[in-house]
Amino acid sequence: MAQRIVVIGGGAAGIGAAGAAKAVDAAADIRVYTEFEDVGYSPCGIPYVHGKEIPDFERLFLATKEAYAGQGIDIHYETRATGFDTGRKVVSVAGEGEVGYDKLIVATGFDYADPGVPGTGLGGLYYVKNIRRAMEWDKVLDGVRTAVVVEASPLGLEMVTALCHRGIQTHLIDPGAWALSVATDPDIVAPVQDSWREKGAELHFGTTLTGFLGDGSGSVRAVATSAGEIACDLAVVCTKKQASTGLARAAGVRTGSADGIIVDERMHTSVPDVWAAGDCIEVPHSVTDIPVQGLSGSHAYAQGKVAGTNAAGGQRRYQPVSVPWGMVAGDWMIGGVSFSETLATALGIPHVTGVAEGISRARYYPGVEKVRVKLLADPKTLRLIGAQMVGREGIKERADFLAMAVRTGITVGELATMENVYSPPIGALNEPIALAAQNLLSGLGS
Amino acid sequence: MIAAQEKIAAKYGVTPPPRPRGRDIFWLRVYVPAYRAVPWPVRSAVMRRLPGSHRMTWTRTQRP
Repeated sequence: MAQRIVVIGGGAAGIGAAGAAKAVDAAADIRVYTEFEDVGYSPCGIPYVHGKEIPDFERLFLATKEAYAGQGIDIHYETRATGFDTGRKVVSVAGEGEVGYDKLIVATGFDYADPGVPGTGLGGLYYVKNIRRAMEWDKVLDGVRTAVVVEASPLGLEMVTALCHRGIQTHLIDPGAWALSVATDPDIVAPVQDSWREKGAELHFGTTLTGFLGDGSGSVRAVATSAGEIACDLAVVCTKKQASTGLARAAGVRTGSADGIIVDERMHTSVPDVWAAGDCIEVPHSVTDIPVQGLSGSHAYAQGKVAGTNAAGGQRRYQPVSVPWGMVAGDWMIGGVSFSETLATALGIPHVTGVAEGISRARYYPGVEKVRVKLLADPKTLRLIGAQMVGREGIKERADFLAMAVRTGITVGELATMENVYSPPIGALNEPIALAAQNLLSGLGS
Repeated sequence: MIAAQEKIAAKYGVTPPPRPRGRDIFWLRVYVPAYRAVPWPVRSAVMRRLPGSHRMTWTRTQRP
């Protein structure tokens, strides 16, 4: 008899798991339960539709509902799983009763942290997540004159950029001293902030949200902050992504110190025949072993494939993460790996740094741009532990490369003598990563 | 994080975070100095003892 694999959640992790499980066991009965109208789309692309870089939301769908059905994946849309019993191996599903499973994959994703201030029930507060709601909000944006973006998280940076592109007067409020202060350093994000100001945005750092103020008819008219009121027609709430673990915890699945579901390298949880993947789990950081949660869509999808493969009877492992990241913000690309100086300092991780400003192409080639690279290394071993970069091209590729460098224990000494592609349109004679490594070693007297 | 931002802001000559108020004063003026006084290997060992995925089986590719 075919094994039944139930997946709770239809995001990147859930769909990755369902597809991988089907690939391992074509005969398996695979059911996906999602509370939403759609699965398998890229929510990461939503800010770029709002900003008009992507012309329509339809491009964000990775496959049609018919395609999933054709693959033999039975997806139950707008159907909420309300709990599961790991002893009897059943999932409680609204409108369907109890559904038995042989293997269960929990991919319940994240919720935005509650701002914890008065006024969160007002209209005009936008939480970017669901594509159907995003389509509705995109029409609302046509009539918005002034917007406030609450918190300079990665989504916050993208939404500030998108709203500026839309011609909306945009305010950013954040309690940190600069944008994305948890993950970046001020020298890296400074060009981004300058480009936002050039587009007319107003940045309010060191400013804490204290409430949303209504207009008397139930809609937001302003945000209240520690520095006063800011009038607005719309507030985009970009608070921290918290693991959605309610169902798992109620079923007795253990969670960890990062508040995510505890999993091993096969995405197996503390309960037999239950796997988990995506934003609802925590995974160890490759340098510190400290668990981290709330990574990117690519992490969630890869984790889902591992969970699905193993749940279906295959063998696949996941690695501790080095967290390469990158994004377009303002007129710049920023990115990095693992730690910024700020985060390493906050955690008290010993480190030495080296910085260089290089170029992205031959200096005489049209379109050449500056690339600033900062490397962080362990003072004793000189192994790379982190990096930060800003430029107008070539950031993503460098972040990916440096993530592998962190993962495999490459030292700054090896980076200082790395080979690099030199071709006038695509690469400079001196690679900025190598320059930063050389500067770090020079600073040590090496 | 506020303490780290103060330090990094001073290094790069940018505006630091606002001065602490209320409970933040305890965290910034008592907890942070105590935290920094503990050697990193000890802090790291304590963090690794906390419950979490890091205590499960993970195979690494990093060279010894």
